[in-house]
Amino acid sequence: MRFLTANPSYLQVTPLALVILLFLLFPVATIVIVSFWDYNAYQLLPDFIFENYEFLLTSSVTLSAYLKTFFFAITSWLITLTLGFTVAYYLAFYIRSPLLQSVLFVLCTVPFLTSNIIRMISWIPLLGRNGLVNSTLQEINLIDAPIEWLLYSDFAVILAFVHLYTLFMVVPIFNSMMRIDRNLIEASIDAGASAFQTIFQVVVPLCKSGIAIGSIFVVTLVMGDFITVSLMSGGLSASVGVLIRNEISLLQYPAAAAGAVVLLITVLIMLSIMFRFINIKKEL
Amino acid sequence: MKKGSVELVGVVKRYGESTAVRNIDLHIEGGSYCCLLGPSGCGKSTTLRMIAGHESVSEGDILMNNRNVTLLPPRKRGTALMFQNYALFPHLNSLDNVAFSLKIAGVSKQERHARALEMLKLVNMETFTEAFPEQLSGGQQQRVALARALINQPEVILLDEPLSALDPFLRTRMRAELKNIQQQLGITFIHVTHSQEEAFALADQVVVMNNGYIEQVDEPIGIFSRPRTGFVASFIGGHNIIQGTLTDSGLSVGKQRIIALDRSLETGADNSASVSLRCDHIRISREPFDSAQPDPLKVESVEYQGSYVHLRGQFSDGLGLSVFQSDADYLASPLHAGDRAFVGWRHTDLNPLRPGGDAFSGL
Repeated sequence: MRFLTANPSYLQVTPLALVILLFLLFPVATIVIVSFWDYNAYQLLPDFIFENYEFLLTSSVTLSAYLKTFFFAITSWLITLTLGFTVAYYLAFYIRSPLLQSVLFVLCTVPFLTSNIIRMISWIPLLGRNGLVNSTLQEINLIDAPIEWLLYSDFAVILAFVHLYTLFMVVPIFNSMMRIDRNLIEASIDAGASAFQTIFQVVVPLCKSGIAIGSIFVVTLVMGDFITVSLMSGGLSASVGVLIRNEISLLQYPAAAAGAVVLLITVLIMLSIMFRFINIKKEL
Repeated sequence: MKKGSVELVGVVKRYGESTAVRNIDLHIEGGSYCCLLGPSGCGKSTTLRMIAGHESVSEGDILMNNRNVTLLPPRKRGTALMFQNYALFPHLNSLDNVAFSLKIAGVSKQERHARALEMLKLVNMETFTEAFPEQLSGGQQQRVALARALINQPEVILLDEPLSALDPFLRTRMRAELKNIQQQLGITFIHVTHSQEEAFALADQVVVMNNGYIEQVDEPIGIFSRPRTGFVASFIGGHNIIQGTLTDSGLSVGKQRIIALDRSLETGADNSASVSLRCDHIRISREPFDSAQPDPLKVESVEYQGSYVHLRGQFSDGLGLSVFQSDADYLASPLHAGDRAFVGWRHTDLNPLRPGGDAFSGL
């Protein structure tokens, strides 16, 4: 007790520490432990074996799932980054009135008023074989037969990701753009820089942390996703998340746990690379 | 004509309904130090930004070296702007900040760093090449900003209240350095300020602005000894403004006071006229003297200012005067609030003011 009254800061961090311990560290530790267990068709067998990992790391299915996941992550990242940067730039530098700025910003968040699933499902009547896009294109005689790759394809998966996650790029980038002193833009113009030079020499370096935070959001969300991929690809594509989910539905918990651990390590490595580029403290 | 001359011809700047700058004509000699002086909102910064090319001109033309630059982008004008908060790029160190415009122009890394180092040497910052702006003090940031402005060998440097962010001690020192560099390089400096002290210390030519108009253009000595309008006299301080009606025998003030004049005055409507009188040109004494006003002044306040004493007083007819008495005279016979004293001045010390226009009513 004397120790706590002397160091009240320990008391202050206790609630958060407990929450993290209970809801983050404990489950992760459980998953790591279970990943070394054995299993048969009916039950989990506590053990310490490496077979789960052995199977996982040597299977060609894992490799192709990881390649697919990386492909989704990188493509969605590139598109959301381009879109998010453009939208944030427009909001931050072109809209002069603060009121209009907030109105447009709120407008960006409107899609988030509905759930993920509904937002994804609502693409189906639009993109389906007899959906709005195909029927319109056929009606104006641009195409003869419906375009097949609109729905249940990698295109649809990436479209859904972009739709779901662009806002996660816009917000942090907009936030760091609003902190840029407008005189810096003029100083850059005064130095003879064109609009593009100003963007790449001044704006982008000063938004680096915003871009990195947005990238972390998008990449981690896409890497761990299974519902978007299975829904929008119609089960034709498999990401790492989809594999794990399949294993869970077959009650192969230790195998799923091993897959989760490997995925976690992969994402952590990607994050640590991203953190090298930014000083995250500066942004908070 | 010397390089770096700037001329404004009938320049007007409107923002929607409101007019920030109204029809300004101004000639700035090449290689001179010009200060735009005025209270906030007088249009001085807008004028500077129009010269820099960061603000479009609504009407009129801007000429540099007799070349019309009104529609040219900033970089094509041969000007460089130094911002009030210096606007150094936070992601670049001093050397890269100074070299920024060379990088934009595509100069090789080695050459631009060599030239930037030269500029940093000029402002005595060569030991801070690796430092980022946030690691520099205000004065150091300003030197880097100056070096950045100088690197393209501009003919005109535009400074937007460059000293206002510094503490008073540093301000005086940087002021001397600015003047030094200007004389060393012989380029035109156009400097916006609201401090008459700064303008007097630096400028070859002071442009006093008010409400979008130019009130007076003159050397500092001319501005202080012969303010043209009531606004100028009140803005630069140290002047009494005496308003009255012009009669045959002089300026009639209040009910009975006639102030003798030795020159003609311009009068406004119903013969009203005004003169300015420097506070330090008023003689004050307990005893009446030759040129003194017939009635004594009642001293209302005494402020000790170091080298002089600021006395405020009023005549019985309501005319108030400020007097700066030298500390030696004051100490010889100190006056206190409530004392009565005689004041007088030479006729030649009365400076006629142009009628019309408002006096400056405080910062």
